[in-house]
Amino acid sequence: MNCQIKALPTAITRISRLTDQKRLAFLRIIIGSYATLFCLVRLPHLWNTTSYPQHRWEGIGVLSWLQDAPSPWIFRSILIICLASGIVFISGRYFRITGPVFALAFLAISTFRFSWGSVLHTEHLLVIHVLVIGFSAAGDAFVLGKQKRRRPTHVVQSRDYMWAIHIAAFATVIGYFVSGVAKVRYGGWDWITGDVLRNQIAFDNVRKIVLGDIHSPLAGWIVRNPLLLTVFAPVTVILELAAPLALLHRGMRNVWVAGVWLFHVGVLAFMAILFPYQLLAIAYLPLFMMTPLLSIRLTRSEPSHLPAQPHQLH
Amino acid sequence: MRISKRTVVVGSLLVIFLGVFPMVAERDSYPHSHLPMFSINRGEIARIDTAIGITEENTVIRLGPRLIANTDEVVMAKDAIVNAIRRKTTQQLCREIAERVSITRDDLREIQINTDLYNTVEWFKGNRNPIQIERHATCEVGK
Repeated sequence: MNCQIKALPTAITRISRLTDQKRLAFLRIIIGSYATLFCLVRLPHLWNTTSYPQHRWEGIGVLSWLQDAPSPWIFRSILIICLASGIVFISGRYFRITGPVFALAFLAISTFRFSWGSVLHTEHLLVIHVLVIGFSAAGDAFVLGKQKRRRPTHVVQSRDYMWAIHIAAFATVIGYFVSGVAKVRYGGWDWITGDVLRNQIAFDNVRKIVLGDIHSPLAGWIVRNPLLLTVFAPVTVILELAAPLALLHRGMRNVWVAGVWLFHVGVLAFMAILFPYQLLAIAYLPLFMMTPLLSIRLTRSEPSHLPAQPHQLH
Repeated sequence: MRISKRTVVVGSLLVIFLGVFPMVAERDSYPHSHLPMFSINRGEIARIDTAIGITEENTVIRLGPRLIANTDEVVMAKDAIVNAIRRKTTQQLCREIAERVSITRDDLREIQINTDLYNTVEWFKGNRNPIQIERHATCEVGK
């Protein structure tokens, strides 16, 4: 147990020793693997969506211009492209092509899935991360079959890799902040007192029961004993509104990540809603890869002839 | 360590796209959203749209997302009913459900699409009867 506790700081230290180039490539492997595996695991469901009746179609996001669902073979072709490019995306090969192709294909299939009249909120952050990594230079290190890469003719300065890591970290905290604003805006004071949260837990679980789905076995207990929610609810709102602080300082980041991770554990325990990207902590990885904002200064992004150097995370 | 102007520019665009725009427009879309889930005060009394099966003995059977909307995701099943009520296509959805039910079950004689009014907090204290039931569609299950 003690070894497991020590393993996390050791992993963070090891990551901090990586060059910016390798950190971004590491994110590519982890986030790319998750997204590709997600498509693979959900393949039967995704494949099945093409058989839904047309009247359920309601194009959203990048597909909002589509009045009718595209033909099944178009979607299935994109799905196959997504899976194939996803595997190459992870490997890092031909990344200038496979990076954007996988990112756009993943955006297309997830948007298609949500265009059948239901927007889930479990993939919003994932797709943003895939887009950011896909359009970055994340294929410059840890490339499968290219152990000893030739030195590039023009050496890119470290910040050219860091921008993508910073943007991915921004995306993580923005999502939580927006969610916190929504709670205050729509739930108001009642959210802070725990009443809204209790009603949400009760409503969500009853709805699951009447629709014949799995519900939380702890729901009844927490609804009958709402005292705990008077602590959970304000802490949740504070954590979400304080999300931007996680960008500033290592200590704040650690506390914040631990807090929001526990929040997702609570959501799973009391509402049977699984946020796998967050529970596996992949969503927070960019925060551990970036340099806290209190340690950095604004500069112009001119290429330098100096090789990329690792820098310690503060 | 320094931060590049590219980070500032792309970061600002991201804040506008993912943060400011969805909050101002109150838009729940993809990949941008004002993330309204869990935030609305639903109160203890709530309307829940549902589809149920009725047996020959008039017992209510919960159908599950697979039979309701040919999906394994409960939110999609819920939205299929909500959208059908909104678009007034509940009879069509009812027939689709009845068709799926007829393939997998032989104990149901009827499908109903309803909006039930529940006290969701009281549900967990043992009071599970709906306060009110509004029926949108009924259809027979073909054998």
